[in-house]
Amino acid sequence: MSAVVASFWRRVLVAIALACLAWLVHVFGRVLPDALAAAVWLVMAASIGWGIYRRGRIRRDAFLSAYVRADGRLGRLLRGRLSIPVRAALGGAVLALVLLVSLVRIDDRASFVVLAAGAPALVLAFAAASRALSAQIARDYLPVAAWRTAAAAVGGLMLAALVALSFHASYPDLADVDLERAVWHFVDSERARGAIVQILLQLAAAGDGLRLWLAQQLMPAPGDSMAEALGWLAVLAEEAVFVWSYLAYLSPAVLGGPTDGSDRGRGA
Amino acid sequence: MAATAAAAHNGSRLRIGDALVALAAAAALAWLVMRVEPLDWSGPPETEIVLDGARYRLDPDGIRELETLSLDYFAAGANDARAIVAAEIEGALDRLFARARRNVPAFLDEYYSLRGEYARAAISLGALVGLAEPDKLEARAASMLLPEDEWVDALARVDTAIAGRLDANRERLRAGWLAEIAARLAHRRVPEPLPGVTSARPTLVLDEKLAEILAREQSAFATRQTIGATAAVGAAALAPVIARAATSRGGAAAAARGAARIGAAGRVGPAAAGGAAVCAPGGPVAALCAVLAGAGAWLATDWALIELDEALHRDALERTLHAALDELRARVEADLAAAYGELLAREEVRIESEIRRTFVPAVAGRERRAAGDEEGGP
Repeated sequence: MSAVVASFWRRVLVAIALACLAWLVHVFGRVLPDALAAAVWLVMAASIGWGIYRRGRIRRDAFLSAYVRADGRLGRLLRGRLSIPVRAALGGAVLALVLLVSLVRIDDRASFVVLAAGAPALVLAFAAASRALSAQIARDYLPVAAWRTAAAAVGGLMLAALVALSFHASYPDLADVDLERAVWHFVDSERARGAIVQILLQLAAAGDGLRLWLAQQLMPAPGDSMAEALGWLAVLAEEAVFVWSYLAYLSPAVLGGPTDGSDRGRGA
Repeated sequence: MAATAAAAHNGSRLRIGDALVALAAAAALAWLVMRVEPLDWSGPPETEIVLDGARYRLDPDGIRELETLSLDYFAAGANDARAIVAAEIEGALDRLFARARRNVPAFLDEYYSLRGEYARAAISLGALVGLAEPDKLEARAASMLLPEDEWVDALARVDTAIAGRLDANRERLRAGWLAEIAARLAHRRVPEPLPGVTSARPTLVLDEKLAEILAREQSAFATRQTIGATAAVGAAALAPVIARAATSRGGAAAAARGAARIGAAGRVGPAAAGGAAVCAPGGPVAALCAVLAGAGAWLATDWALIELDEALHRDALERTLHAALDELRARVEADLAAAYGELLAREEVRIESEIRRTFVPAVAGRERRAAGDEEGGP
């Protein structure tokens, strides 16, 4: 029991350390040279990729142990020695890019408070889910089940908070301007020291400009129209991808690093 | 048992230690999140150019290129203006001196005539007794070749023509410069800011600025040009040069004629006495007859001497007059070119100064950027 509690606090510490790195990216992202930004992106991609790999490994092992004989040729083929790492690397690279750009572009303190609070909350929720599900779920599959439960609960709350913040944020009036001016307004406000970072920020800003312009052109008057619902669904999806990338980035804090995986050597 | 208790005690201390570290880290993160603002990056100092209603954005290097282009363009425009002025002056003086040259034969006809001879004699006599200005003779000769009203009118027309052509040149320069700048800036165009949003960057409304510069220079040039024209009118005083040339050349001939006339009087004396004898039977009108006969002989002698002088010296005097006109034209042209050249040089200097002042944000931007590079910060 004491080992479990100690492990909990250490996981909290790791989660806070990862949140601190995210905060550093948020604070210094615009003044980072491209090389340093690339290094940060690699760290984030490694963290996210490792989480994806661990979960993929556990799911695959659970599938193989349930349906395939371990000594058969099919078992060796389906072991996923290549596909799981590749998928983890690709997923980690893309989500880390989304996370990096989103962290730099956060422009209100309240949003980052939500992110900072989400780190220990995820560990807490994971511990609670692990305890609650331990009597129901097989021991090997328990980390994935607890992760899904914790990520859904914490992610849902974070998403609700971020969407609420977006709902109450003020936006420029784009009703009487053309698309070029609207997009330019957003693109022009994004500056970074690194040329590549600036391009990424401006691409994201262009997306925001396009979405906001479409929203104000399609739904000039607030009301319960389908177009308005679609507009907010787009916001929701955007925030969901961001929250998912952030939680995936924190996942090594709850799933453990390369040295403490219970599945090590079995699936790899 | 004791070992188990010690392990439990150590585990408890470990838990508390981990918890304290984690809580301290969470508190530190919360403090940082609430206290520290993200760093911003403004990038290189840029200037917004507004040209013909469109907006462009340039970094300091781009502004410097624009400044250099503008300086070169207006320097070339100043050369065009000098060529225009030179052409106008040349054309005006060509016309003016062509009229003067056309007056030369009439002047010579007058000069070699009894009327001209006696008019000059009367003026000389008047000058001797103080009834006429000493230079009246020269002024009269000058007015025959280059009448002052024609001279003044011609210079006034030069002023007007030059002002008009320079205005047209400025307008052409402005249009060409705008087209050149617009072509250079085409790929740097940015959309208008949103309504109610003002750009934090320095904004330079270039076409308005240029129009202001050119209008100011046009006005200043017009003011100075009056002075230039007045100074140029003073060159009309050079006209007596011609008269002096004519009278000095004619003076020698007149002296020769005087001497000849004295000799001729001696020779015509017996003729006059003979005339009196002829008139003697006339009774009381014999004296009048003698006077008339003497005057006729005087006039005939003068006429003959003038004809002789004309035959001998008219061509030389005509050449002297043409040479004097050439000299005068060259001096007037040089004076006018110098006067206008000074005006144009002043305008060029002022426009260059205005352009450099117009692009001050670029200079400021370069200084800011240099300072930023030295500090190595954003």
